[in-house]
Amino acid sequence: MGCYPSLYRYARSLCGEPWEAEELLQETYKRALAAKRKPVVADADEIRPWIFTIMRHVWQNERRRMSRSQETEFDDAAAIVSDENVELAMSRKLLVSEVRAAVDSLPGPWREIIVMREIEDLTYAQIATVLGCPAGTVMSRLARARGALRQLLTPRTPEVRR
Amino acid sequence: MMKCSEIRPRIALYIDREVTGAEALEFEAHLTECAECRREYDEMRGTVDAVRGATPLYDAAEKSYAAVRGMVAGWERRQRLRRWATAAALAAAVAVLIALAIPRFSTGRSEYEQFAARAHRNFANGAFPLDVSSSQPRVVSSWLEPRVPFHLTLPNYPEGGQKRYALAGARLMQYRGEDVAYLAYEMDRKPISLLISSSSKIVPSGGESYRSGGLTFYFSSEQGLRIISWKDKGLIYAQVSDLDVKGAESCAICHGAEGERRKFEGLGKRM
Repeated sequence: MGCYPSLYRYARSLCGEPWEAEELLQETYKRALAAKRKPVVADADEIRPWIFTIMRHVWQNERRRMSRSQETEFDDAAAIVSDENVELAMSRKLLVSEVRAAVDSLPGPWREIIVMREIEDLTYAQIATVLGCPAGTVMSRLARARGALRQLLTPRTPEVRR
Repeated sequence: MMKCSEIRPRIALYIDREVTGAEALEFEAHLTECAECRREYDEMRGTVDAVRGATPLYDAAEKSYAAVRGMVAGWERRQRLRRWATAAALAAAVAVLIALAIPRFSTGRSEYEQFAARAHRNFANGAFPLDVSSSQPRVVSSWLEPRVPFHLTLPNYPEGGQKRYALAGARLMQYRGEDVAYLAYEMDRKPISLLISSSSKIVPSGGESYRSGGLTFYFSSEQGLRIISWKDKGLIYAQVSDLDVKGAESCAICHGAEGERRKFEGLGKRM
């Protein structure tokens, strides 16, 4: 139950703001601790897919409550990435803040899957459990998210001032 | 050898360690020979490494975790208490079972007889004053009669003959919330105790048993004391002494006079 930083990072991938992530973290723990059936696992890491799933449900419920409308299915193919907030330094090693800016600029579902895979090192199967979708969907979404990040993180040729 | 069209979809799988064994070897071999696929791999690898290198990416101040830490600590405390409560309840249940089971198997003998043995030792040590001191069965009976919850008239054994033992007196005692009669005798300056109860909860039992005159006598010993218990007409008796005889012979010491032997006809016949 002590994977707070990991869960906070996932919360940040779902919510934009740190204070929202903190609230989501607390609500998730409240639900997890009250759950009647908890997974019995020796390794604390193994509990993450379970608690990530709870967090996702809490977040989804809150979103539905706030918007009071039916959530639309995310379309990976139609997603647009804006790079206006991504300022990459040219010809030098990328800074954490730059990567964060790139990840933050991704559409929510892509940001979420990038954090679960690249930062939290969850397997395809674990991610599929959290998202409640087939592993194939995980792979295709991850490929698109990575493709978008590649576009954002590849140094662009500076414009030649005339 | 894999074609480029087979390699491309595997790039991400390879990076994510989902391609292993012979397939991984074939994948790696292809990359050494195909510049296009190698470039594709290097670009994706670079992107993934950049993100992974930015770990933890998002981080919160330690104080941000204070609330959840408190929540988890409280939950763990409650779990510990619940486990303790469960263990205590189990222990209590086991204790109750034992308490219920023991009387069935041995309390009738051990508790009542141990109680009688303890009373005997106290009397023998002089730490047990009698409520009434008299060698007259009639006097002792008169004192006990109104105080015990059963009818009690001490016989004047042996009738008419020479007494081998003498009544010393009596005392009222409490055993498991009920009044019981403690009678003290002496023989050859050695104390003999007799406890009498009417409790239906007591079932006499013991190591050796003998039947005589329609009664069953149980003989046991405890720390050098000989204990005989039996039930007769609804009363439970426990006699304690340190007379150095075994089993049924102990009855004959007190009741060995010619006039009394007939009362114990058959005594000594083992069940």
